[in-house]
Amino acid sequence: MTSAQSETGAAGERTRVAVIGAGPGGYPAAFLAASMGMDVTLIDPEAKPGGVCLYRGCIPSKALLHAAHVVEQAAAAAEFGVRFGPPAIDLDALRGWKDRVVGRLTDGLGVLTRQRRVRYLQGRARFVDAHSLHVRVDGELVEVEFDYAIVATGSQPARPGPLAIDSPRVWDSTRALELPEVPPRLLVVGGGYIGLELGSVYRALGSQVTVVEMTQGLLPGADRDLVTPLEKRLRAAGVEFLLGTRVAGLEDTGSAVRVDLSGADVDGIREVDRVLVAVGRSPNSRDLGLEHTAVQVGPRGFIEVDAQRRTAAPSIFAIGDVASEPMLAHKATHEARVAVETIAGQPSMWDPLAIPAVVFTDPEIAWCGLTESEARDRGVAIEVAAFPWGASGRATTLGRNEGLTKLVLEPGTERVLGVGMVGAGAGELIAEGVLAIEMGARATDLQLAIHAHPTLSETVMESAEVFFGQSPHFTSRPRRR
Amino acid sequence: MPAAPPLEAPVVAPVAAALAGGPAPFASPSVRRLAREIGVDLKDVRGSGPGGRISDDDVKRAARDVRRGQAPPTPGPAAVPTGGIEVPPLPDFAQFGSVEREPLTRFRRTVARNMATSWAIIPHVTLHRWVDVTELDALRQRYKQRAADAGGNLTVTVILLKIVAAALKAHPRMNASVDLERGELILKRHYDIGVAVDTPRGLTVPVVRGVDDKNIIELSVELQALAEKARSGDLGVDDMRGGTFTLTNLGGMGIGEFTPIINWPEVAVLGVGRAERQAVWVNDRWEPRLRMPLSLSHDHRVIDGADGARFLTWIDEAIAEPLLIALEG
Ligand SMILES: Cc1cc2nc3c(=O)[nH]c(=O)nc-3n(C[C@H](O)[C@H](O)[C@H](O)COP(=O)(O)OP(=O)(O)OC[C@H]3O[C@@H](n4cnc5c(N)ncnc54)[C@H](O)[C@@H]3O)c2cc1C
Repeated sequence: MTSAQSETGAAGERTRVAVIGAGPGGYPAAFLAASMGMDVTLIDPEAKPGGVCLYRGCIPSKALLHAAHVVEQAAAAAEFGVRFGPPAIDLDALRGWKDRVVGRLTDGLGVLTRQRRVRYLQGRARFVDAHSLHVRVDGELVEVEFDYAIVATGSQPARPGPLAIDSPRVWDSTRALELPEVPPRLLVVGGGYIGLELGSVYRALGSQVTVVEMTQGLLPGADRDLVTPLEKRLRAAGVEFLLGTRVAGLEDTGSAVRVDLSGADVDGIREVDRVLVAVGRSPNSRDLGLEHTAVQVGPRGFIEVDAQRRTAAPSIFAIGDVASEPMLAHKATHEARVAVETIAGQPSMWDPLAIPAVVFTDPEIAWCGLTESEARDRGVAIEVAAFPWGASGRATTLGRNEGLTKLVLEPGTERVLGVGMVGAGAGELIAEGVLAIEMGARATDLQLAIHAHPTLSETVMESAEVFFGQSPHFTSRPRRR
Repeated sequence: MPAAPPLEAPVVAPVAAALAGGPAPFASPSVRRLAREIGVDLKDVRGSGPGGRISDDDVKRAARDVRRGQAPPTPGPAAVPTGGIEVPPLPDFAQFGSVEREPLTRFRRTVARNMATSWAIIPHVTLHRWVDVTELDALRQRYKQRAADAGGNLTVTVILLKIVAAALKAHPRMNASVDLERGELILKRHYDIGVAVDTPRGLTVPVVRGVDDKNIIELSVELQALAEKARSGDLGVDDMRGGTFTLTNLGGMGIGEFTPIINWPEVAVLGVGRAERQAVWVNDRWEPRLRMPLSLSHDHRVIDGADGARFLTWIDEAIAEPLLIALEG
């Protein structure tokens, strides 16, 4: 980057690629561009890269979920004769540990940024036009001229109408991850993955948790046979689910929150200590000065992009949560590659066949590629082969027989189009499904690849065996759709 | 700008976004990337693997078929570099009179992209020089039959290939690429020379490998075979990659001097024009000599005009004094 005084009087910088936002979309984009020899400037309000994912998303939530799993496993050990006393939870220590986990990772990214000679500007960026930005750094305005910009500004918790009250007793996911306290009664609005994950954390820490979901089921989009085991287990653990229920209003009484519910099972006011609103996220496409460029923003706030992640302004790309669903870190990271390779003149393209989705509850739910429900909605003919973990040796040794692994196959070619699973550790197992789909594996390939015994990964091979009616441990025929 | 209303429903990943557009290509990510690189639409490819899975060989075969005109070229993303200049929108030509729109073939779009890249990136300088090929042509006539017996065709281009390889050895900076990002010149220690071939579909540049290690007869056979392959559309991707310098001959079409475009990321290209018999003042009298124009374009970022001139002079002398190849090349 070279420095110059700009016409506006602001300190001026020139860069080949300006990356706005340093989350799992932005920082990999900056690093990849730098490793290809480009001159890169990375801009984010935090002192170090990380974005939502590291500071207030994936990482802190998974750290807390790990603590929750330990609490639950200790309690479950009673089943096989190992008893622990009730856990003593030191909230300050837990918070401190979580913050250290985050700090370790973001510090690492700071070092990598310097090592890759990526110029880091701590501040908020706004477009002046299609080739320049203003960034406020320490109160001073810096003008950055760029050949290309990659917008990776992510998303923030949504607070639609009746939920939009300003109260210390009404949290969003960011606040919940700060672990301010363990409320005796916590009501979670939203039965998506963030609500279920954070609800699970607070339940393990001792809260009485109620989850309110507007639609008829948890985790809309996921196949029902994968959701049921989770729902059962959480109910058994004392989590209350109010499905098909709408929150009509919230009121802070000064000591509690009055929640106005309307639904099939409940109608009326419920009083709780804290409310966690987790009803989705909205893309950060506002206040970016995009109106000074040709960039188009769709009705839901997503920046419109093509298969190269280029916006309607040829010099500007957009990736991650601000550009499209699914709002997932690994999706943002792959888009970073597509955008940077395109800038480098390579014929890159967004064409994944499988994006894994993982819900880190206990049991975990994970899927990738085509789901059964999506196939049904779109009228795609499929065959489904499922292996219940009740027949898995490894699941039995863990005392966790509630799981299920299934393959969604293309009739005729027996090609794997989708994989879904629920069970302990499903989030790690799904990787095999992604590889199978991307490599164009067929059921026979999974059947003939040796899987270690006794592991949960055998359930993938066994599902393929079920497809051919040859599973040694389970007899059933595949379902045709 | 429209406001961003919050999302109403809890968001879980809608899956298989790529599947929504139709059946998913039955090919691994690396094969899909290859298909993009060589401009093949996987919808046009028949997979030879179990269940119809597409392999990289299937993609390469399909590419050859498309070039032979067996399969229809389908449009795809092909960003043509414009040297940082925004291409203004085209006027509506129909308002001025009747027009017809002919789709650019995939092949043509690749050529367009490559040419635009070279032209946009490289500051070209072209030097012209007439060289005396009277003796060279006499030698060519004398040994033509030998080459023919071996199955080759002893053309001026073939002989020039050998001379140029020797000239490149003596001038390593002409056999190079520039890495501006790292501020380095990449000098290549192999002499693989591309030869432009006119084919029914357009310009193709197969690469003759290891020119310095082959004799002229061998080169005549190899170039003959490559040109055949090019004309029948049988060249594979590997036949066209990795060249270090390019030779282009328009003499056969009656062209004299011209300004060839460098084949990026190479740094120079030699154009050969039509030889003419000219009256030359030699030793106090006019003599009929066969002279041929050479046009050297070079990348002025790394090669100065004087360097280019020295390179051309070396070639000129090597043509007049073939021993120079053995002495210095
Ligand atoms: C509680 C929670 C748990 C989650 N768990 C997971 C999970 O387990 N797995 C998963 O894949 N995903 C998870 N996600 C989603 C994941 O965090 C996001 O998909 C991911 O962070 C998106 O990355 P991004 O790069 O698009 O943007 P972000 O990570 O949102 O980063 C955007 C960055 O841009 C900055 N920015 C915004 N505006 C400007 C501006 N004008 N100038 C400069 N900088 C700006 C922001 O401050 C931020 O640092 C979770 C999210 C939450 C909230």
